[in-house]
Amino acid sequence: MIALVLAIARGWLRIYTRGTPAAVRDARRAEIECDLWEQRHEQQSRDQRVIATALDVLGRVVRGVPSDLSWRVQHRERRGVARRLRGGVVAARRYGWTVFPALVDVIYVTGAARMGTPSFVDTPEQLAMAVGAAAILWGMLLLWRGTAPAAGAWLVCLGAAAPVLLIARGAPLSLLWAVLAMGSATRRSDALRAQRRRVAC
Amino acid sequence: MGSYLPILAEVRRKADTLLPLEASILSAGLELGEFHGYSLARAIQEREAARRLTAHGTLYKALGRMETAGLLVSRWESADGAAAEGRPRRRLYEVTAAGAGALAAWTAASADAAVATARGVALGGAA
Repeated sequence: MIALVLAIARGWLRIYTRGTPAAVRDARRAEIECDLWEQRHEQQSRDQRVIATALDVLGRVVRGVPSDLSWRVQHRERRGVARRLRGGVVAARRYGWTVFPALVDVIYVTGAARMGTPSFVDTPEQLAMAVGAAAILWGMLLLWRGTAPAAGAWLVCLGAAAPVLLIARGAPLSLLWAVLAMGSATRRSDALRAQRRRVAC
Repeated sequence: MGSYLPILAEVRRKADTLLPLEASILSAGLELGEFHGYSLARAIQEREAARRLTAHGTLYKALGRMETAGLLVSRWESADGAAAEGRPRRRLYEVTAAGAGALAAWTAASADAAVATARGVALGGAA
């Protein structure tokens, strides 16, 4: 019982101190760890009832939650809106190109595995989707590494296009996703090649 | 909103006033001399014959606030001493002269307020 309560107290301590400056966080954790140890030690040395101590510790944790949260508000590391937006833009530039190829890949893998089993899917189309999904994955890997951007873009385009030719009659949205995936891959390839040219210069 | 909470807290609270918990910390701390969080919580409980110990969050937040205000000073005891006794390091606090002065002022103000209240009650009763 006491071990469980101490684990709860420590877990809560770790949660609300996360994201605060290291020095403040470590001091708070060490101080409350010490408090928990002292109370536990006192219970053992005075031979007090374990359940009473456990309930006392739990009560101290629960009653202190509003103050803990207010302490956190005061000490959390503040990241300005501009910095967060900048981080979002950087992430979108770096990883945004993966969205549509990954979406098309998921659609093809799902189709190939007959998950959802659309009525128009039969064996040759499933095979086309499996091959397309593999080509897209391979192309994305090449684009991710930046080793062969042109080949990567071609693989994504061919992988996305091939099954669409077969299934476009039954799934018009697939065509849209495939076109967007091709666009993302070619843009990524262009960006990588431009970057290489800049480095070479 | 969170960014403004400390400001709101400052607005709500008058300068040079103590919260009841802060007064309890100072008076218990003056008796103890040098103290750590748990010994202080135990001392406050015994002094006030309270059923429960002060909550962790409430106690340590108040200690931090009072240290920032200069009412307390703290130091971490040496790791060797704590290790020799087989326990974690304690953060030891001491009431400063400013803390003792703030407590004296708060006690006087509380006594005045009590006298004024008693006088008001007596006047009300006479009318």
